[in-house]
Amino acid sequence: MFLSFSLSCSLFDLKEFSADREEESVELDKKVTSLRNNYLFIIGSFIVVAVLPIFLSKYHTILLVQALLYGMFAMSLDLIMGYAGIVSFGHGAFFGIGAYTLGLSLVKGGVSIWMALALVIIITSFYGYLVGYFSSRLKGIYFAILTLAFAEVVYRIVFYSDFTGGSDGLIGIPKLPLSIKGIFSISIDTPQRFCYFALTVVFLSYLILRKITSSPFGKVLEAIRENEERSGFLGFNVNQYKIISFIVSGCFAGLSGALYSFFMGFADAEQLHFMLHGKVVIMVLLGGMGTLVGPIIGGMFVTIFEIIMSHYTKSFMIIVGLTFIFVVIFMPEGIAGAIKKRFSKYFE
Amino acid sequence: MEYIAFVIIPQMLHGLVWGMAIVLTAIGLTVIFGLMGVVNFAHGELYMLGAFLGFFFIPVVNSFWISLVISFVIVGCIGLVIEKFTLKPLYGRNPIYALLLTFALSMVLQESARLIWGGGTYRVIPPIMGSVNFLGLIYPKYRLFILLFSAILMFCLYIFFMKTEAGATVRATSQDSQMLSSLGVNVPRVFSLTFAAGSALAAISGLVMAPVFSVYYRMGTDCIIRAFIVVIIGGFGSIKGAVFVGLVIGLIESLSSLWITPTQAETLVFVILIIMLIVRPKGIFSR
Repeated sequence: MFLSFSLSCSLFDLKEFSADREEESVELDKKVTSLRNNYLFIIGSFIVVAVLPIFLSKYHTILLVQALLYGMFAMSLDLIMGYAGIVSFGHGAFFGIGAYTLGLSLVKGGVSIWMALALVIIITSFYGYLVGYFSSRLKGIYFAILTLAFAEVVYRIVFYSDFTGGSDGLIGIPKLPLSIKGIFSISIDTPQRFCYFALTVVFLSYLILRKITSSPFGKVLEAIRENEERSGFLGFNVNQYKIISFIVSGCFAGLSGALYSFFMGFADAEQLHFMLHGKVVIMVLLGGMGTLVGPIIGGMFVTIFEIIMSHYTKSFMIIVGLTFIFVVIFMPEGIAGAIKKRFSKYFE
Repeated sequence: MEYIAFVIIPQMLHGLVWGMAIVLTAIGLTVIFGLMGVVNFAHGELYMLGAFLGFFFIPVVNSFWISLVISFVIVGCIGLVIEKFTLKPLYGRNPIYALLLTFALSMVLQESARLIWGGGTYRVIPPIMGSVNFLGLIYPKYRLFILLFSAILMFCLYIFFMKTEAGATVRATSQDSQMLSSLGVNVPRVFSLTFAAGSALAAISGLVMAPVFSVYYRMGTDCIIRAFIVVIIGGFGSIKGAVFVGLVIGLIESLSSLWITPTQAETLVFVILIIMLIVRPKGIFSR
């Protein structure tokens, strides 16, 4: 009900949206900051999600974990999309690379979980550097297409090689306990336990990303988004900033993918497919760019919506697609933006 | 010598046919981008719809050519509707929104096609049967017809853009739409009609290629990425670039698949794209 209300709100705002968006975006920025600093809201929602698994059935807990991890994935994209203002259309590659790195190192390498996660970070950073180095010079649509081309190459390599399991995917990823020999060992074999693990990781990554975006580094990224040329004149190495933000964003995306395959017990090429690239951009857009919390909500919403719809009809993609079309046309600021516009006075 | 006659030349002809399929979709894509700044992800789905509508109407009207006209008209109308109701509100915003919108549209169209025609693969019987025997080299007539047909179509497009007033208007609008608007040209109508024409062109290409490549609901996705590559390497908005690069890519893909597997040949195309984007990000024939 709440959602439908916010939808109707945004319909009313449609005319204002198109009028002078330039001026409004500055005002909106202030409101965004006020929400971002709203500790109560964030801690409250953390507690809600933390309490939820106690009441949920096993099936719904699995759904919640998936939603959380996709939320984290969308949040990672928000760092470059919402702050640095560069839209990657191949971000799914990070998710898939993370998933496959963890899967391969656990199944074929037989390493510990910590080692596997470290490998995920190393490999996604390397890929991020490679792509960032070549694409950071390009702007707008050209950047988006180049990242898509890189992602497509990764997809093909994974899909057609035998080492990764090819089109069958990689199955049998063990759910190793989180342990350090002789000190502690926490098993995460049930969805409920994994849910807390995922929640902790998502919350920690949120805190880290928030720290990054409110640091001087994050402010430079915002400056680049607002005016790239001028930031260059001020002496900032724009390309370097872009590459670093791309790598950081990629690491978090890789981690979310790694946890996803760790949780599901398999990795398949679907996690690299180009549907995912577009979907994650829409998750960020739906939640609201440049808010970090918004994309988590957007990611969770899209994931849950999609899975629930898939129970009712086989052609759920039509409904999901129509919803996306609606969002792009009527809610360019996303759900968070629409709600904030309507209720901004309560947040100040 | 025999190797050249019986392996290389047929493979080159295959490559040209495949290249023409890419070129015909890429032209619509590049004109739409050059004019409206919209990267149309749904273009492949319009190509797919053209093929499916043709497949549907051929048994009804009992003629390949009439159903070609029917699917041309229907997909043109679909393009018109898409432009009017979904793209129009996005003009003036960041082009990423249009990219996302057409991405969502392609999801809807693809899934609708699966809903209507199922997930199977269908064959369309070529309207021209038989093959040509030339110096011991046997080649199907229909494929030669495709080459001729595409060449004529491209020549017509060239005449349209370079010699007619309507074509000049489209070119001028892509240069400076504000100026044209103040000169009294109905710019929104130019946008709508160009988008519709581009869609209809994709439909023609889909149906003409259908007897060679079979009809299935994901055929648009397979074609669109190739068409994108062509548009990017050729230079966004450049028709000349699209034609040249499309044929070269088709040739590279078919000739290289003599020595490497077709999937590796596909990957090779992406590698070429990445290298080209790094060396010349705005494309070969960029304006």
